[in-house]
Amino acid sequence: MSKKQTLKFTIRQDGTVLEEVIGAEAGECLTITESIEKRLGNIETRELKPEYYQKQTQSTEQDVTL
Amino acid sequence: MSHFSTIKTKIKEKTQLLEALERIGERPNIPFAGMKMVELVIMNPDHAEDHPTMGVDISIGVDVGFKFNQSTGTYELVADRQTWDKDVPIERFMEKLTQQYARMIIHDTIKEEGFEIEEEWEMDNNNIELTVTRWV
Repeated sequence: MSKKQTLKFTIRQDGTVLEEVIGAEAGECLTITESIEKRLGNIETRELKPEYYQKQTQSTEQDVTL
Repeated sequence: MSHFSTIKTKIKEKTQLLEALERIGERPNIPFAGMKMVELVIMNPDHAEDHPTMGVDISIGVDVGFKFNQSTGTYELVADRQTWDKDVPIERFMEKLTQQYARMIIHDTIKEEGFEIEEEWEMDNNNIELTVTRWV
């Protein structure tokens, strides 16, 4: 099933970039954004959104039932 | 994984630096074929009688340029405050340039990754808002 992935960037007037990933599965958005982050410069802060932890918990549960 | 990241932009790539300079209305020059550097003329009026030259990777006009610093891997501005005659101060010039550079890097990378631009706005607060999407 196809799924929409969205990246939102705010490029501040001093060139600092805020990046937000919407609609990515656990572990996925790092690979999507890795090249952008690598080319731009240094990551100052990173904040994980709640669904990251939700997804991780779900996959752990699946492992147990299998 | 979903996340928010804040990235401090560093100017590391020549192609996007040239594009960013054009975006802010400059006409950058690069060395002619077979040459390694463009020569800047140091115009400092204190030494008006002798104008030393300096090799840079990109020049804008005769006395402003960018030189690649091997140890940091970034392009650095070469300019003289005394002869700086642009509309904005040096610091603001570098901010505007860095903002457009970040934009060009993002444009280039998302294309390679199969994303398309959905929205791109220059906001009243001078921020650029960019939304890109792809179907997977």
